[in-house]
Amino acid sequence: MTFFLPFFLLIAGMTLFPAVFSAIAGQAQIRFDLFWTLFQDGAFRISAQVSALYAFIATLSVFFCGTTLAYLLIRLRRFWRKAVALLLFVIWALPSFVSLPIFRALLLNTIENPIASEIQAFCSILVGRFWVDLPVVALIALALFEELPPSYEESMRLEGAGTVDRFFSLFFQIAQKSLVGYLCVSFLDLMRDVNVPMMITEGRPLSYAGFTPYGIAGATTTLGFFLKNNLLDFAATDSWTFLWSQNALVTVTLLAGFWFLNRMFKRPEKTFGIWLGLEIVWSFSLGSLLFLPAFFFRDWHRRGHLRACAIIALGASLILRQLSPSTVILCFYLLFRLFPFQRAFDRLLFFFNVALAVLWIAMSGGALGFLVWLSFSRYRYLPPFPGIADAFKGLSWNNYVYLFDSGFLVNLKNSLWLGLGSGLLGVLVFSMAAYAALKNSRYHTFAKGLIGLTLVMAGMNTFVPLVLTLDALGGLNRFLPIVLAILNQSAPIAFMTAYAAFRQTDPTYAELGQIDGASRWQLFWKIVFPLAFPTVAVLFLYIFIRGWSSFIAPLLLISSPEKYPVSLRLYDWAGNPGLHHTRWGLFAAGALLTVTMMAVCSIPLPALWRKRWSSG
Amino acid sequence: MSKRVFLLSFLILITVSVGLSFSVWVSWEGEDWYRMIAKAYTEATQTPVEIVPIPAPDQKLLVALKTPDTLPDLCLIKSDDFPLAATIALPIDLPRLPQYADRFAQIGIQTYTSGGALRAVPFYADTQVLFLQTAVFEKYRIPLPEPDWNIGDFEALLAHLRAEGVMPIGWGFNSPYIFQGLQEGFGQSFLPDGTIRVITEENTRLLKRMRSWVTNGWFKDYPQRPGLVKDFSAGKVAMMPQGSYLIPDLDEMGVPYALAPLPEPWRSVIDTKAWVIFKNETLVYPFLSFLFERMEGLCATYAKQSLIEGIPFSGNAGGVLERALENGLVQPSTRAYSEGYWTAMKACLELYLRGEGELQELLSTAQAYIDQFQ
Repeated sequence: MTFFLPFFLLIAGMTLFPAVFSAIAGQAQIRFDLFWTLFQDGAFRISAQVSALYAFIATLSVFFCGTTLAYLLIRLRRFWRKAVALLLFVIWALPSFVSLPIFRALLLNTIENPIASEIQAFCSILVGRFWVDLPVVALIALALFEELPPSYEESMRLEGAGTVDRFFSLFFQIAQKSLVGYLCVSFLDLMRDVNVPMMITEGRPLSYAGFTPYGIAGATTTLGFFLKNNLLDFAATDSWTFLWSQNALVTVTLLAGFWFLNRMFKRPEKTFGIWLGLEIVWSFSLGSLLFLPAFFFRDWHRRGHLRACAIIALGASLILRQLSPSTVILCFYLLFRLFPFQRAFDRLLFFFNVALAVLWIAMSGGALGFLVWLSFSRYRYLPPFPGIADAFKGLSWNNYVYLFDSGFLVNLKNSLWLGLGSGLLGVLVFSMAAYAALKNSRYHTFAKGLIGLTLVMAGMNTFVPLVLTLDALGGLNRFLPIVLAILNQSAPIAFMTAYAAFRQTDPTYAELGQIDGASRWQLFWKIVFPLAFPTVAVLFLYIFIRGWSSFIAPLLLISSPEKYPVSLRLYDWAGNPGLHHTRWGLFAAGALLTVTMMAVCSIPLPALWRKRWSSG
Repeated sequence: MSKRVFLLSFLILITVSVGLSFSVWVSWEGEDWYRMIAKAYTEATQTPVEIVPIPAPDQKLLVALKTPDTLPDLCLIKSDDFPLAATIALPIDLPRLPQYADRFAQIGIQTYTSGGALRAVPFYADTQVLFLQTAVFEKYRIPLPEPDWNIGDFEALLAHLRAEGVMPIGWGFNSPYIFQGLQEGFGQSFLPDGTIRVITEENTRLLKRMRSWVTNGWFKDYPQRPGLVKDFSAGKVAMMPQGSYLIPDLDEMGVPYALAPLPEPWRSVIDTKAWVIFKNETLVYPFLSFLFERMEGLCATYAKQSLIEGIPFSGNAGGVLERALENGLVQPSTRAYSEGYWTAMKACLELYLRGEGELQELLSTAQAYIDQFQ
């Protein structure tokens, strides 16, 4: 219980209490008629479907490509491996309010109108998400693969398995097993994504069916963006009941998504029936009707029938343009599970992911080059890509001079405190909770429930009661509440990662320690924790970066410029979605200083820590 | 004894200095300028002023207004935020700004009056004007429009530019910021009693007219401002209606441009900013007077038009901006406008101008959305 308590208190204090407070203080009434009206509302439905498709494709593409890239990296020479790993780290370390404007700049300099069509807009946000999210998966997979004894792969190679076969039979399986939890959490996180649609497309192009008196949605409106818009619009009125109902509906949808995904990984044959039922209740599109015959052949032993039905249904749905996003998700799934030429499919998938990884590297290199060039330019507005002839004209150090003169170092110091505080405290809290969950399955179930609640409840809606409480306790303008808010937001992925890492460790050492009479704390601190070190180091970096780049929590909880982290300064220079008063040169210089500082501070830390543990 | 006296003096000093200081939230342009003024004020009066730049004022205010203890003493807001802020803001006591009490522009007074009392001190405005890419006009030897031109002349110019193979004009299809000036020029949707009625004959005709601009290839959708500014700078689009806040950026980029007033009856939308006082009136009023005395610097650097008479606009576009301000449309400061109209018309405009949906149905849905707030 002692190990689990800090985690429980964190979630209770930062999610459950504000959510309950919000419902009570808002005097929200439960109105089932409104709930039903909102459920039928076109805007809500479109945003839910868009979210599901967006989250599904983004999560899968990041997972497949990330693991492929990690596999390629462990085969590269040390120098190149380090170089690509550094690039991964740098892009990962770019806070979203830095990386997304940069991505937007690249996009606007490449495509004339990213929202010219629904597909183009949807692809734009997918690519943006893919670019931002790939590093974390690739680095976690790299950490996992580095832990794997080389003999495993060697023995497969001696048995004649090729590069692709070894990847799918060994590395991919390990990554899949370890990252299932992460993928589920990431899926839900993406369903609530606000940043990418807000910064890249503003939820546009809108859909006619998605324009209703209860909300507005389009081809890139995720549930998070949809809720955010309504929160800003309706929170100003006395429509707490409306807001509460809409929040509750979104919460139920997300919880259902979480449960559905979990089930899909465990018992896929049962999931098919559930999907069909939901699809009929939800949209009853022609696609789902055509899938109906396949339902009778859901027995996995009769794959041929199922495959035939699925192919006919998909083809007809595509031709008739009657395809709901959930049907697309099912088709992806069936394709992966039932594709007849598995070997050829594996190769196709592998080389497609290699191509994506190469594209990612090229794009990241280009983005960083553009950022460096911008940092020496004097552009206030977004410039086009420079030609080689005029790239070096008018460059100066003025942006950096301004930053040093305007107290940017204080902002860097504040971000460092937030990052380090969150990273260290987070590693401790989540590792202890994961260890407790590993030892006792009841804690694991309880933790999953808490994580589910955090995923669906924590957001802008919980900040008002949080600010009220902190104000009463004198906790505003302090770093600790921000650190706790960051830990709360990081909890799902952090806990899942820590749990997966501890589950992978060899239990023999802990058993030997137990026989030698080590206490539970000693077992945890001296045996289990060091054994899972590479993944714990990634966990530290994950929370450190979230702490460093946090925006909403400092914005709402700090009102003293001396305590502003860099995020609040940089946002105004180019992160602002409206792009009214940009200062791109300053923004780029600040972003580069930020990333450099993060790299300097965070890269040696795990190494030092590792040394401490290996010598201890 | 001496220790006690020392401690007491120290405590009094701390209490007095904390009590005498106040904080000011500022957003948008001019952070450095506000800091400079605050520093000068502190030196002159020994009263510390903390300037707090707020990067995302909408979100910050939304939460802060629900937790009043966290509010600053003085806060710069835009008219959209006024309905929320007015519920907590202290009424403005104009006699405490003796030099300025009778010099505030009427549009500022109207915008920031709520429940019969002035609740914010008008500060500055950005106005909409038409930016003309002079290189394009010179290349095709097209004369720049006269200051008193009308919508007929405007459409003739669009056709002329199109015939030369240039995209005549561009802005975001979904921009109520641009649309409302046209809407109020051709009809009246913002009624005197504060309600908004968008489902009108005039709006139907206007939207059909705008749709014809799109189908004729005269008007291009630019979903985000950077794309529009990039094409305007490169001469790919000849005109853009935008706020005057863009002037310093275009000047710095060296883009050849001229300003023209919007053609009659298209009205220029005035985007105003004002100071809201939440606490510490005694300290805040002298600071505001000090700030207004030096306001010309802010207006010159950031192309702002003061809402205080007698503070001139020193840029070379002063004439066009003055005219735009005189014929301007002040954005209503009601919830129905800032939360309802803005969101609903964004969707309505985008869908109709892209050719999706029936106009009457779209306007009905927009009206239903707005009605929830009025």
